[in-house]
Order: sequence, then C-alpha cells, then structure tokens
Amino acid sequence: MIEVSGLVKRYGSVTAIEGVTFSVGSGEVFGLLGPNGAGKTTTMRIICCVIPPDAGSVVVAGVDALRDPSRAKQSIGYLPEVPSVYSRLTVRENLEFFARLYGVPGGEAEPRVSRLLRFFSLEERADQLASRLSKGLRQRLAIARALVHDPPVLLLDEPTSGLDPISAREVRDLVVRVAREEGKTVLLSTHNLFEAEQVCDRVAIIRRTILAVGRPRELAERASIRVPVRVALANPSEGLVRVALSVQGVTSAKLESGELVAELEGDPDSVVPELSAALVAAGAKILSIRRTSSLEEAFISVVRGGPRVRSRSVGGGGRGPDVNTGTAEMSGEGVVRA
Amino acid sequence: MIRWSRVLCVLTKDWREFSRSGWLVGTALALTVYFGVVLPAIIVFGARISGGAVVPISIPVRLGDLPLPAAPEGLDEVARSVYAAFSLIVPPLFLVIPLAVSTVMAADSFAGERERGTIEVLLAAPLTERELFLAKALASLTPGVAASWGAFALMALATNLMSADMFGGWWFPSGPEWYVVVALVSPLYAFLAISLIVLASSRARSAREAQQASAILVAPILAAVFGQVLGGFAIGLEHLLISAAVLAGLDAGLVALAPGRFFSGVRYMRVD
Repeated sequence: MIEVSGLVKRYGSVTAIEGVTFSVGSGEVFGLLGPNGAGKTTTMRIICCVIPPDAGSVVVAGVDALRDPSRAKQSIGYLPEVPSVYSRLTVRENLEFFARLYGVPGGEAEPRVSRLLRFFSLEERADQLASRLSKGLRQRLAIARALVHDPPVLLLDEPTSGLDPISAREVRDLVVRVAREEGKTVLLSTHNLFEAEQVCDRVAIIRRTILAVGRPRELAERASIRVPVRVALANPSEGLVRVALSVQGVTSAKLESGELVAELEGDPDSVVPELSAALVAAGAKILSIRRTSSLEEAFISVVRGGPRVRSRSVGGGGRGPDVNTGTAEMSGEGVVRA
Repeated sequence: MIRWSRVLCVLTKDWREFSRSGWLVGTALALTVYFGVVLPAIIVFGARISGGAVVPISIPVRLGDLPLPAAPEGLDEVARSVYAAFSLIVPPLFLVIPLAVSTVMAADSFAGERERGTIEVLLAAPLTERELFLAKALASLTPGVAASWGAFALMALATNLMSADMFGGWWFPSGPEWYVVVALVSPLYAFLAISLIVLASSRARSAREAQQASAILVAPILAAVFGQVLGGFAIGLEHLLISAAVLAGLDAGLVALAPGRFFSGVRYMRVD
C-alpha cells in the first residue's frame, strides 16, 4: 500500500534522511520508530506530499506521489504532530469542511460525518466549538478528520505526543480499532517504544536511514537481547535467587537493593509468569515486577550501533498477531503489578 | 486549472472563522461605523461650530480657502469647508478601512494558520498552492471591501442627512473621484496589503508580527492627506486612475512572488 524507496532530503547542508526505504502492506499498522531528529516527520511529510524529496520515490495506493500528488493525497489521511483542527469551528463543521475539501459528494458527506462522530464518541460534542475540547478529544477529532474522506492509508505523526496517559491510551485504542475495523493501512511515527510495541504489527527503526525493520518481538530476538526484570520482594533472600536461576529462560539473577534482578532470554511474556509462579511457590512475597521492553533494548542496541539487527525483509508484511493495548506510559517501560 | 469548488470551500471556512472572532468582527464593525457615521459627524458639526475651520488651529489653512475643482457655486464658508474635507481629507483616509480590515483578516488567515499549525493539513489536502492562495486572499479581501462599501453607503446617508441644508439638497458623493476610490483604488490597495502580509507570513512567528508588515502602507495615505491639506498638491480623477493602474501592476507582481515565498516558508518551517 505504501512503497518508499531511496528517499533523500537535505535542508541546506543538513541531511535529514538518506536512502530511506521501506514498504507497508495493506491493512498493516507500521511504526516509524526513532529518537528526536531522526527524520520521522520529514519522511511522513514527503509521503503525504507536503515537501518534495531530493531523491527517491513514493508510491501510495498504486499512485506515484511525486508525479501525481493530487491523486496520491486523495488516498491519504494525515495527522500532523501539531493538533490540526480549527478551534473556531464546531466538531461537526471541522469534519464537514474536510469532507467538502476532499470532494466527498454531498449525499455521502453527512452520513459519513455522523458515523465518524459515533465511532469516535464525539456525538454529544458535535455542535461544540473545537476550542472547548480537551487535548485528548481534539486529537480524537483530528483522527476522525483524517478519515473523513475514507482514505485507505492513514499517516499519524506522533499521535499521542503531549497527551496524558489516559488520553494516550484512548488514542492507541482508536488507532488499533481503525486499522482492524475500518481496514486502514496505518503508518505512525513515534519515539514511544511501549506504544510501538503495543500498536504496531511491524516497526522500522530510523535514524536518518532505516536501521532495522521487523515485528517488535523479532527485532529483540534478532538482536539477541537479554531483557532485565526487577522483582521487588518483601522477603529477599539468596534462596529465591537460586529459585529464579532454576527457571528456564532466566540467564542470570542477583539481589540488588532488596530487589531480585534477573536477565531473561527468549520471549519475556512467557518467562515472566513462570518466574513469578516459581518465586511465589518458594514463599516469595512479590511487591511488583518491572521489566523494560524488549523492543526498547533492541532499539537502544540498534541506535547505538550495538548488535546489528538486519531486517529479513523490507517488504510489506501481513497483519500480525492481535495486539493488546497497554496501561503503562513510561517511555517503553512496562509495569506488572503482582 | 483552478477548481473553484475547492477555492470556495476554503474561502467559506475562513469567513466562518472570521465571523466567530470577536476581535476581527469588532475591527470591521468599528471602522465601518467610525468612517460611516462618526467621521462625517465630526466634520459637519465641527465645521458648523467653528465656522469653517475643521482642521487644527495650528495649521494656518482654512479648508474652504483651498482650490476646489468642481465645487458648487455659491457655497458659504462652512459648506465650502465641509465640501473640502470630503473631497481632500476623507478619500485618502477612506483607504484605511479595507487596509485595516483586510490585513487583520489576512494575518489571521495566513500567519495565523501557520502559527496554529493547521496549514499543514491544508498542504496535505488535494489543493494546489494557487488555489489555496486565491481562496485565502479572496477571503481576506472581501470583508475589507464589504466594510468599505458599507461605510461608504453609511457615510453618504449620514453626510447628506447632516448637511443637506448647507447644500440645498443631497450632494454626497461630491464627484466621480469617490467612485474610483471606493470601487477601484481601495480594493487594489487592500490587495497590496494582503500580498505584503503573505510575504511577511512566510517568516513571521505570529499573526500580529505579520500584520506589522502592512504598516508601511499607512505612509502614502498620510502623505496624500497632508499634501493636499497643506496645499502641496490636489489629487484629481486622472491621478486616481494612474494610482489604480500602478497598484494593479504592483499587485500583479506581488501575486507572482508572494505565494511561492509563503508556501516555501511554511513547508520548511521545521526540520526534525
């Protein structure tokens, strides 16, 4: 659905992106993951024809976006990083304006606007000025606005940036719903690893160029990442360390400031429950279990130039396994309360 | 090819936004009422009270003494003074209405959208730069022109009602110069201001900052007023037509330059 090849963009002497190549399959949620200044927004703005690249090609829904931007734009719903709704228009007027701008026929516009208001739970606020909405609701409206012309492709630039944890979770839920229920192809940029892991079928780690592409779990596995887990205990003891070491997938364990610190190999989602069950069976009183995301470890490793994670395929993938939306919002750190 | 349905879509959106801003509507209404009613009242009653000296005492000129082409015969000193004020002082001042209203609107429409970040979604919409510029320039121009025409109609009514006894009937507008000013010079002057705002908006960080770019256009208005009041020159019909032609040329030049500068400035306003 999106084919990006060899994109280069320079701002004077600064090269923002160089040789960016990836593709996103139909119905896929694809994340562009990178630190600030990595070129995520530049890549997004090129794909939606806001700025031209210095080299490379972009094909969206079968249309060459550089040769026929007007047709390509028709296939894209774009959510920029800055909330992009008109505060002096009502919620409904915002949607109606963009429906007309994208040439949605008069008879279709009204039911589509009504459906989006329902889908995004904005019906009760339809006639309120957008300026009166909270930041989270405004972001919901902005996503609805991006969908009003029913584009097959949705580009979301940092969709949860600046939102409180509850609003951010709502937006993540909506993105997943839009992809699953509306069948949209979603390209989202983020520097939030937790978000990428929870929402995306595949991610590309970008820093001026694409460093790695794959499913979040695959990236961690390919980087041979060992995931550290910290278990806060009411009754820490060396005996519990030995119990931890006996669990398959635990490569090391030690006590550190009253916490049991273990390193896991393989899929942490299956090792952590086994570890906690073994510890409880041995009489441990667990206060909390905290682990860093495996994607975060892979990300840091790739961006710092550690173990190189090579993508097996840069091509579009199918839909990945069902994803859950998480509860924590701490830059890639998940918290499991015991 | 310009798709007028999309131009109209953006234009009506901008109008709706203007209509919901108390500051924008207040500016347009205040100027319309001031020029339409308050200024004529000041001139007419000022002349009646002072016996014909409507200009400040420090300026040693009585308006009625100025050469007035096409002034009706047999006017007394007070009437000549009123006639002179509406022929020499008010026409250039009248340009302030579309200038002020359109620049406030243009700053909100161009620099304001940039400031609020909403211009990004318009750039991503299936709309050419030409269509977007046209929509926004027309959306900014029309309220200014409408305000000046409204003020002109009010002024005609108020002036004639307040001074008919001096002239033996309704007499305003005093000559064809007024129609050239209202129909031709003032829209072209407002468009010049809009183009300057658009140029400034490519770099300005806020709508207010962009608005300052048009301040320079107040200088020719003041020069025209003081030049005529002090007897340096008198602006006639032929001068107004030449001015309109010059303004049309300047507008055409800026239309070729301003949109490209603005959109280039907006597209590259940030580098991540």
